[in-house]
Amino acid sequence: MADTTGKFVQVNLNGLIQTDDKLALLSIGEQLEVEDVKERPIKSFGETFAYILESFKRANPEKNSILLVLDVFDLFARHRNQSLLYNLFDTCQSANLPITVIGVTCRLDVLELLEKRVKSRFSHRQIYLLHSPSFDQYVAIFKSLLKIENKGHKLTHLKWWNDHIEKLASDGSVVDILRRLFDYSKDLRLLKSLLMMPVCVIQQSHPNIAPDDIIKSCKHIVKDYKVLLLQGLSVLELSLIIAMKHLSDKRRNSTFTFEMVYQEYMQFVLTKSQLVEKFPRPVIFKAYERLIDTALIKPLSHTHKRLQKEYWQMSLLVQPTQIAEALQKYPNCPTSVMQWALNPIHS
Amino acid sequence: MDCDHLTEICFKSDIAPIFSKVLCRKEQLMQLLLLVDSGCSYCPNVFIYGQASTGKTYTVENLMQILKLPHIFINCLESQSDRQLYRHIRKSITYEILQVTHDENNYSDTLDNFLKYLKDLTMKFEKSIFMVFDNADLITNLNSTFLSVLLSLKELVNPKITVFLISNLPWEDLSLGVNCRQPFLQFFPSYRKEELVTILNRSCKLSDNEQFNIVYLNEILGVFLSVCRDLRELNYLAQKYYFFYQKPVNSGEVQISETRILWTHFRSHLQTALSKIYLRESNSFQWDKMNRRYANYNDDTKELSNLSTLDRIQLPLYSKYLLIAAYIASYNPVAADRKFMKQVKSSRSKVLTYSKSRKMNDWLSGPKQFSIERILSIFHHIIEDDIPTNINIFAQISSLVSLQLISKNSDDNYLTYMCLVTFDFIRSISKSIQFDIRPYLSNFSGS
Repeated sequence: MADTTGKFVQVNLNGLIQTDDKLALLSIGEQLEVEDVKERPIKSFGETFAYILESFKRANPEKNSILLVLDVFDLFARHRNQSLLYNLFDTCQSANLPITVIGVTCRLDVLELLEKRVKSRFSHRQIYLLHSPSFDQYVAIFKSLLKIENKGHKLTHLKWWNDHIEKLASDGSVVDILRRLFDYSKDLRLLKSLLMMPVCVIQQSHPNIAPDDIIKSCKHIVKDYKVLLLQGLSVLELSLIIAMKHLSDKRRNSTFTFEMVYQEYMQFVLTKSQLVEKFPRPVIFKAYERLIDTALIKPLSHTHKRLQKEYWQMSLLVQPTQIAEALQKYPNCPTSVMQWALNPIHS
Repeated sequence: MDCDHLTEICFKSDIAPIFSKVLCRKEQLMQLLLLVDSGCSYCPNVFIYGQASTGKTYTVENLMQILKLPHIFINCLESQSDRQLYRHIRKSITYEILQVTHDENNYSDTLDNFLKYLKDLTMKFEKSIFMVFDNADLITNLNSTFLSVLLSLKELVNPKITVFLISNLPWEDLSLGVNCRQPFLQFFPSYRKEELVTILNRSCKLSDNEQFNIVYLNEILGVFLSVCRDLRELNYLAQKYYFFYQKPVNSGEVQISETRILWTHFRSHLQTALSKIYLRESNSFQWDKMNRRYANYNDDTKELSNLSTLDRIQLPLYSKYLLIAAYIASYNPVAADRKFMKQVKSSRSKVLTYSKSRKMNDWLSGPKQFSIERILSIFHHIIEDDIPTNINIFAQISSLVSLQLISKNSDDNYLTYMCLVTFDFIRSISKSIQFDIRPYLSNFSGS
């Protein structure tokens, strides 16, 4: 194969950074070291792009072609008129100055995002880099992430460490956890985030990775934030959530307003007046507003914003199982509230 | 996290002060310290989340300062556009990390330029740089891709840059899909009762007697904790009611050790306190004077008893009738109008009966829109006498709209109104003119 180094130049564009065609153009101009792209009034994309290619060709006669790499390609398809893509693909087919465009993306349906005229100019060459390891390969990756290669470290130390990783990978509880993670997602980023904490914990007094560390790390990753949030609420706020849950159970329509929640809560307070304190309405309304801030309840999108806040239609974003779990773990939960959660009061 | 073999970290001389400065956050601090101080590689990006006032910002700030890490602290509330944010970041870097006071060109108008600047910075500066973003949920409002870029800075610019994001919302609400790499998630739970007592003891200016303070705080928390677990609010309440708690002690009536008697003295104050939690009523001198005219001023407690908004709004007579008519129009279904406005009950009239639950649902789901003809017909009906001709009804309606008691809505060239007052308000207004509104409301009448 002929030696191609030095005969082409590479231009890198990223969809996250160049969010607009104009920015992309400026970036191309900069990377190709073409001056005064900024000063020229940009009348149309195609014209300026042609100008850039011309000046580049004049300045660098020995370079044969340009390679453009577009990272996060699907975001480029969101630009107005997709003019960047259209011009790039168009230029690919002209013999003037050959350019090659490589797009890199995570979406399999990226061709659906392209307009018809852009799609027709596309060469339809796709390379799939699919990653679907089997469970054994997954465990092998786990081992390879933790093992250390022989690069000038003491041989005995190295062997001891690698042996201990082998033992770890065959430990029953660790294999269980890996299986659980593998069933959830084959993404390697998840595996790496699992291994983050055990590696950081390694100290002189704790030179091995114990299976316990990995179990703890897994518990840390799979937290249910809503249950933890419910445990952190005050008793009044928790009672309002239970009132909303009973309302949703009663009605076919699962949205509610503050007035309905207030009435439901008041029924509870009246039947258990000795055990539960009675708070004035503004305090209850303020607790309701705090629940909105924590994103546990959400107004429906078509709510008329000029309406008073008490009458906004809201929906509850917590499942009954999460409420039940949170109640079990709630510190010093009053028994009247717990009983009410299980037995709604029928009017 | 298992702390047995990690206690040696706690006792390192330069790190120990942090545990005494940031109380009750030992577990979270240990996690963060392990990541930051790992000694083997660069710290990963961290996402810190939890409810409001759980000490997130305080912990991170102190961590950075005590470990003397080169860091910048950005509050995303202060920036309204992405350019302002880039500028803010650059300025903070210049002042705090590079410690250069002269103001060079701070302008980065695009993300590209900003990243170039960061690249240059990391070439010149050897140590790792930490960027802490408070209120990170607002970043997505500025620039839709900026969050993804921040989390990919290790790849795009240099692994030396670490990003700490602090937010009230969890990660699932923020992340925008595959492009946002998940950082290390660290949750800050709400404080428990014992932890609150420890923290409030330190932060409130109470007496010197430790035992006395702790008894007081335990009692206050026992009462308020069922309503409010927010540290800021409890701090305010503990500070405010300490005066009343210690008054008998100061005046010599009660000894410090007689806690039960102190409690009985204090209980009456707590009753009013519970009814006003979260609702901070200011106590400036002019406000005092004005309110003395309207409310009962209890000299003993230095508190104002509950004032109502009703005493502050004065309306002319016909405006009050108009408001009542608007309320009836909003909360009664249209078909019920005929029923209520009939003077003579005719046996052939069809009486619409609604089921009780449907009436209740209508009532509880809020006011409805009504047209101007409807309010005028109801108004003329409830005023039995003739109206003098110099009254301008429409001007009164527009003044009610400007007072926000009625809202005006003009979709599709069709003008409708809606009543915005609560039932208690209307009841007291109708009481003031001796008008009974209940027979007119379909919710309260028989059928």
